[in-house]
Amino acid sequence: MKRSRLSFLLLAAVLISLAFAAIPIIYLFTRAVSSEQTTLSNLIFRGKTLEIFLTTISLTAAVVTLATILGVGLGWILYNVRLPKSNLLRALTVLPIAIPSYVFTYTWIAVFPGFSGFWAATFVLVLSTTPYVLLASLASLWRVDWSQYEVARTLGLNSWQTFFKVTFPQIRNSIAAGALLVALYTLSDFGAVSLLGVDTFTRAISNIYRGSFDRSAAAVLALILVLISLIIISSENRTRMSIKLPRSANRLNTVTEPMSKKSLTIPALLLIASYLALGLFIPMGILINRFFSSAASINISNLFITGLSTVSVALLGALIALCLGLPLGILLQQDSKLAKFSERSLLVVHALPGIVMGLALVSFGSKVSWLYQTLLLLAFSYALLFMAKSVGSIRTGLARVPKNLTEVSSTLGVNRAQTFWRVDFPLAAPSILSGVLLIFLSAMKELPATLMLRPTGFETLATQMWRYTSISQFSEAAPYALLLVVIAAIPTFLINRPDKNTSNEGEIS
Amino acid sequence: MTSLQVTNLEVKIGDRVILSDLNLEVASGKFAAILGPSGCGKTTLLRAIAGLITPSAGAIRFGNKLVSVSSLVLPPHKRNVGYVPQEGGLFPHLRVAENVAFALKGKVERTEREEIVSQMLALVGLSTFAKRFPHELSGGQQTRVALARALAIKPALVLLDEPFSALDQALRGEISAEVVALLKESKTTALMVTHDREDALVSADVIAVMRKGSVVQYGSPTEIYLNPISADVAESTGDVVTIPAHKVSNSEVISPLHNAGASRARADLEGLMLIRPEEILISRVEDSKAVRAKITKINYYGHDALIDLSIEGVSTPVRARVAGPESYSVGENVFAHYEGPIRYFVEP
Repeated sequence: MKRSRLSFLLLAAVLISLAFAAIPIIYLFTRAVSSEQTTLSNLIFRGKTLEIFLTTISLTAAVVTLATILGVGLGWILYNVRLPKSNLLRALTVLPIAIPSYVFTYTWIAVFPGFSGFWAATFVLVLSTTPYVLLASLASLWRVDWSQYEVARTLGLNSWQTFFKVTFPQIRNSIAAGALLVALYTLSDFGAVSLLGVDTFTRAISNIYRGSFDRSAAAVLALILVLISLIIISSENRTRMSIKLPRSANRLNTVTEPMSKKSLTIPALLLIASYLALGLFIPMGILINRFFSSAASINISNLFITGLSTVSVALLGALIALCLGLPLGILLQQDSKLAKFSERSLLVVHALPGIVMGLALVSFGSKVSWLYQTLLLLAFSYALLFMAKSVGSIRTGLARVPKNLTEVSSTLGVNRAQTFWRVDFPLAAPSILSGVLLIFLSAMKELPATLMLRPTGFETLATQMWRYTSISQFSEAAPYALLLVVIAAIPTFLINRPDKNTSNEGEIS
Repeated sequence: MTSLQVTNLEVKIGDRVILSDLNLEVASGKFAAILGPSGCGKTTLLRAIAGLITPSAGAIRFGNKLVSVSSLVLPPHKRNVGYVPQEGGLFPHLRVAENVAFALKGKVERTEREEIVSQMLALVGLSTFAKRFPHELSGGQQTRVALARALAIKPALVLLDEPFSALDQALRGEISAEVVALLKESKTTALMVTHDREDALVSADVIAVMRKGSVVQYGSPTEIYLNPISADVAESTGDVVTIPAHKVSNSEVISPLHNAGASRARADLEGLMLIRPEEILISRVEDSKAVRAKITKINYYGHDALIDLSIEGVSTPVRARVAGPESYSVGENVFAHYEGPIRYFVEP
């Protein structure tokens, strides 16, 4: 079908968004290229870099594998096994997503000072990333038409065969998407690996940057890290198989009735309980304990001011991300060359870990003096870091608006722009809003870019607790960590309300 | 209201030709049905008339107004058509009254708008549902709201895309009768796309039969039913029986059903006779015009029955319709007699 041409206004907005998105990559490149050839090759081919590379890859592989197994397992249990208080259990198993990896790490170190190294990092990262896979698999399981399961059983397949032949092919894309999130989370994680002394790219970049202020060397390592992320993202894209639902399956909102497997109730509860203990209750217990043991010495006004600064800069970042994302989200509804190009560019932006974004924008800021050391630059870094999320939620939201509604609107004499504001936008609003909330949440927890870009004297909850933790003042860090968890957990709940009917897709990518 | 005229319309999607050389005319105030199997392009035709797709050739006129030629294609929001898509397409985030008022917002003053909305809702008999959301309505009510929304703009013509396909059989007759009555009452020119022959025969003033992207026959329901231009068209409006035949003159045909001896000269029967099952009369009494037949199967429907007959000289079962309770049994020998118009075709 022939689509009408882009309006001039949209085109301009798209180009502006793309130009902003290009800034970090351009600065990284100019930095990396400005280093001399010999140091460049020395840096890339020295043994230490290979070591960093191998550590990063093995950590990512270990975390992805374990989190996927755990996440799919928990998802399947929550879907299939009849459990008491299943809604509450669903809500709780998602909750670890609200706890940043460095807070996790902090709680374990505060109790076991010797807690460090590769497997410690694996442990922490698996616990905090499992909800991504869990949400993705649960959401897709709910979309599988239950009658297909019944048909398969009547055709002679047992329940395992049915899972692998009927259910799994329909949920594998979602699981892969969840696993991709885990991989990117691990690659870009800075807090946990730094505290636990695991030399991955993020830690190495930070060390080089802080130790020598050699931005060129740091930029080279950053580019390698971006390349790895890009390879992982595009391989996930390639393995994705499109499963088109027949029209009737789209239309009929079949109510699925999971089978009850009573014999599995006890083992299922045990697994969920141990996950919750390690991923939620014990860390939170430690945190609350530390908080009360230091309650007398809390600097309330500083805590309040820090909390407020965190919320406001994160909100500003989320709003900028929405503004930058909206034109691209609209553009991606169409099938054009510009849309394909934008989609690819977004992948690159999406592949930038926080530390890399920080590094790139420090370079950018040093050239644009009025931006350097401002809150605007910090908020802008959040917007760029989470722009792909914003576009993703806008895009899915808009894509879900049935085509025939916009057609009806146009036959009723309403032009395209008005149709967008009166039909598409209100219908997509819940999805877009949840996307904005998700960005807000992520921005509040953001650590590495914030550490590099915050104006002198400005602290967020994350940087403040980081400062105390890195000098082993665990009790002083506790209130900041606790407040961060509490205000980051609220939006998580709003978005991932474990409500069966909203069938949230965990639109994180 | 206005008339609709489509001339030499061609629509391509990618390289595929969906509609080609399509001609159609609907007089002002008439209710026309486009009848055809799925995939024949009937929805595409509707969308082209609404302006939702751009034709590659041909013209569309509403009355004297040209809305689509190669040099000018009026966008949908400037055509003033009332479009009722499959399953209604109500805006889920708006209440019934807001749905109906959708097109009027910002164009018609508030009091007048409310007036129109209540008029329209009264017209479709849903005045008490103004505050409901679409998901709180039944399928039939949704269709009626969609119609009210379409009529609220006082459209030049109304386009309905399989409006009754989402309804179950029992509701269908009732709703379609209501909708047709409503459209006739408002004297609106309407075009309905359907694959259901009963929908078309019952409701339409005129029927256009579509095959492979063009209109192959156009006429009143009676004309289309009684004088189909081909066996294919005949099948689309009802059950049909084809038997080999030879035309002697405009009023005389030789076939195994007309003439018991015809089978002897089977090689001469180069054409086909199209017969409706209700045109074959069965009797136990011998008649000079009747031929011998044997009952091979009986499909009993209550109000009538279809009886398969084996007749010498015809290789396929010949189907006859008999009214009411029948007393025949399978295996019985009877006499069959044809009484109907001559529909003779020589198929290439």
